[in-house]
Parts: sequence; structure tokens; C-alpha cells
Amino acid sequence: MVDDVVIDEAFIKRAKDLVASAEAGNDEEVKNILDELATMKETSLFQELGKLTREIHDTFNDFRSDSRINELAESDIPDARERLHYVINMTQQAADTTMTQVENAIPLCENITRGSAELLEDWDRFTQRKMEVEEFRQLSKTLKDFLQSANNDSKSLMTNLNEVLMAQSYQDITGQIIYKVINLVEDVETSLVNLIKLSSKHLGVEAATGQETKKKDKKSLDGPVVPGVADEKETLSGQDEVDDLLSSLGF
Amino acid sequence: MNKDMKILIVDDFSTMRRIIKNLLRDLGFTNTVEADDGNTAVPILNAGGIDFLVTDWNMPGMTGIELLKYVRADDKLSNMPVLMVTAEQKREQIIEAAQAGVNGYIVKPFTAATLKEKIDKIFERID
Repeated sequence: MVDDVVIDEAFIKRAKDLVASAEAGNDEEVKNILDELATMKETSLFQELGKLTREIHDTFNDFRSDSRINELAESDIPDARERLHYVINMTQQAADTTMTQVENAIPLCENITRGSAELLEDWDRFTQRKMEVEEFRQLSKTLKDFLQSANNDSKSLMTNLNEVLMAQSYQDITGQIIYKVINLVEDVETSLVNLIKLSSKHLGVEAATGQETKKKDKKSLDGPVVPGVADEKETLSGQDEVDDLLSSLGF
Repeated sequence: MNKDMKILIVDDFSTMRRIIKNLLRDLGFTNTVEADDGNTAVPILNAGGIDFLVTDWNMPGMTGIELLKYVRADDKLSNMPVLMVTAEQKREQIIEAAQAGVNGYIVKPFTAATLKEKIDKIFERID
């Protein structure tokens, strides 16, 4: 591009003059015109260089003024890291809770299984009238003890099962957090595509662009509170503070 | 409080709907229906018979706050008790929910005891 000389009227006139002078054998004039034409070519070269410099400068300015990129690099990416760490912690906690509750529940089931098996055996002997009176008195006491402990054990089992159930709430919370990180990745992708478009526009290269950017949520919500990511002043930390705020509002 | 009342649970995560459903069953409420966002909840509400609405906030399509506003603006539904169960806990959001006329607000993750306490409180006022 920089090799192009601006072919305008002045240039064509001087070129014709050059031919005329050469035919007339006017060496001095030919030399002058050649010098003049060379200057013309240099001028257009410098103009092109100037234009290019300007464009590069503009590109950098555009890049700098795209605050989304700064935001992504300075806060969103570190935020995403925090969020994903929080997901790991939450899933680990849920797994720990679930396993602890199951481990606590197993001995209770064993008690019930063992106790009922022993009683069944004795009960069969009783119904077949193979039991002495004294032994039956003992059985009656064992039976009562078993019913009492089975009742307690099944109550505890209910608690264990409820705890296991509640522990699964991590799926909702972590799901919401991961959705946010997916949105962020899409944002990064969009910014990179924009950057490529921006630089290719100035360099006259057709950019290979991906899909158009997704529009922002109509109203993006904050979702679950992630420690270290939340705006501490504006976010309440848990049910008690929420209750306090609501009661201050007359609830 | 009528244990046979029909409760609509609205949350986009099926895990959370199942948890709430199980907790409610534990509290003696077995008559529950589910919807996965406000848009699917509205026809169920309009069909009638729902006594109590438990909804999440952040859902695709129609959000929980939009659903709450819809319920309060509808002549037939406006008196329905609404409990919000959500991970949103910004001050301004809680104020917005209160102004929209929410009856109770629970932040996730929550405990079975919290759910019982809030439901008791809501129906204490109404009954």
C-alpha cells in the first residue's frame, strides 16, 4: 500500500512533461522532473506511514477504553476463582455431611436387624411351645427393651435421613454459582472477539468472528453469597440478619 | 393451620424442590405441587386450589419477585401467603420483597427448623 503513489492531475502533468522533455533531449529538465516525481512518491509514503501510526494509536486507545476488559481482568476473573473454590468447599461439605450421617445410621440399622433376628428366633420357640416359663419372662423383658431401643433408633434414623436430604441443597447453590462463572467465560470470549475485530479493522484484515455476544441478563441477580466475593456492606450474612431487617420493616 | 392445604413449590432446581417437598411432608404437609419458574407457576395458580406459595427468586423466565408481584396484583390470588426461599440476600432485595408483600423470607442454605418456624409464623398471623 505504501508503494502507491497518488496518481493525481499534477502527477500526470509532470509525467507528460517528462516524456516531452526526454523527447526534446532536455537532460536538465528530465533530471528536475524525476527529482520532483521522487519527492511526490516520498510524500505519499510518509502520509501512509502517518495514517498507519494513527490507526495503531487509535487501536490501543480503543482497547484501553474498553473497560469491560479491565473489569474482567481485575475483578471478575479473581471473583470466578473464589466462586469455584466455594463450590469445591460446598460440595465437599455436603459429601462429608452425607457420609457422616450414613455412617451414624448404619449401626442403628445393625441394632434393629440383630435385635429383631434374635427375637424372631425366641418367638418361634415360644409359638412352638418350646419355652420354659422363666425363659418366657426373660423374653418378655427382652422384647420390651428391643421395642424401646428400636423406637429410639428409628427416630435417630429419621434425623440422619433428614440431614442427608438437607445436605443436597448444595446442588442448587453451587449450580447458581457455576451458572455465573459460565456467564463470565462467555463475557471473556466476547471481549476477545471484540478485540480481534478492533485490531483487524485497523489492519484491514477480515476478522474471523465467532457468534455475536449474548445480551446481558435483563436484570442480573447476585445469587448465592460467596465469602470474599460479596459486597459486605450491601449483603446480609444469613437468616438472622435477614430476620432483623424484616422485623425493622415491621414484619 | 390446615395440614391439607395445597402448597405450590416453585424453584428451577429440582433438587431444591424435592428438599422443600420432603421437609414439608415431614411437617405434615403432603398436598404439594411443583413448578420450575414463574411462567409455569402462573397457570397452576390461575387454575385455582393453591393455598400457599413457596418460591425461589432467581429463576429463568419469570422470576420469583415477578411472580410475587403478579400474585399481589391479581384479584383472586392477592391474599395468598407467599414464602420466598432464595439465595438472594442483598439488603435492597429483601426490602424489595417486603415491599412487594412477601409473607416470609428464607435464605439458602436453610435448615428444617427455619422452614417450620417461618411457616408457623405466617399462619399464626393469618389464622
